[in-house]
Amino acid sequence: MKTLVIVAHPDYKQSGTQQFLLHQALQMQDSQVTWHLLDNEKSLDVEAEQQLLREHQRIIFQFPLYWYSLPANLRQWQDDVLTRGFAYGTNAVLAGKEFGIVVSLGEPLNEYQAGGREHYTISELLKPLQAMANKLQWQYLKPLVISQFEYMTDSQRLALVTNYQQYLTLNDTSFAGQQQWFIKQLTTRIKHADTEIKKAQLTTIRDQIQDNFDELAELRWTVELIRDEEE
Amino acid sequence: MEEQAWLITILQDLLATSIKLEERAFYQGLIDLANEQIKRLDQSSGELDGRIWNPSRWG
Repeated sequence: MKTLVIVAHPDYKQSGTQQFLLHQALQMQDSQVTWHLLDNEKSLDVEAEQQLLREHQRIIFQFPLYWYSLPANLRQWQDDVLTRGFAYGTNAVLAGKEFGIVVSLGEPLNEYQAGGREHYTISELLKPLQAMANKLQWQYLKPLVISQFEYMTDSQRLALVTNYQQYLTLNDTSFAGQQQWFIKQLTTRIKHADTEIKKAQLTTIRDQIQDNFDELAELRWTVELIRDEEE
Repeated sequence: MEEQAWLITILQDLLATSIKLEERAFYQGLIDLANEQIKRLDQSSGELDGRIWNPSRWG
């Protein structure tokens, strides 16, 4: 599965969040992720943008929430690129994609609820994008919300790296899907390991994680069988 | 359970000796995943024992 991350930020180079995310996305070996920054200086090449959409299966909008909405360049991108006859309407070619949102907030996430300072939930505020996905017949993925990046602790940032990488590349968000994602990541890292010791170490780790995965699946299967017999 | 203890120990060593943030994140993620696997293995085998040990079906 190929993922396109469309990044919109008025002051991209000064954004700690965006620099962090870019760095983490670039670290992923063998991943099929395209990082696409909307250039604030250049005018849009609509055909090139449309070609990018055709070539990718999962489309991500990544942006800071600006006045409860998209930054202006991404809003303009929608008007210019998602045209009738291409994105929707007769002969449209974009149906069936997955659509994700990576949104960063300057306020704490728990203020985005009834009674909080921001009053409305993120789900409510992102409704226009959900409507867009509906119109384009794209499957809307649960957004990844990054709140107050600059105040995150080291362990929160470590968790964010994994959450973000999974958001770009994971198909199945269940625990089974997560286990398979880590097994695949380990296999890639074994391939790229720079020493034999590291390779052996990672291989034994992968084998143990795989054994646990298999044993857990078998146990669940047996338990389900007995449950069914009892009921 | 010895192999599980070994798994966590080796992952903790890798986490402690890694410098790159991305690698540390990966090992931290693996530790969390392995701990969740161990917890679920324990719970599922407990449930299996409980369901097999069913006096109402003796007879």
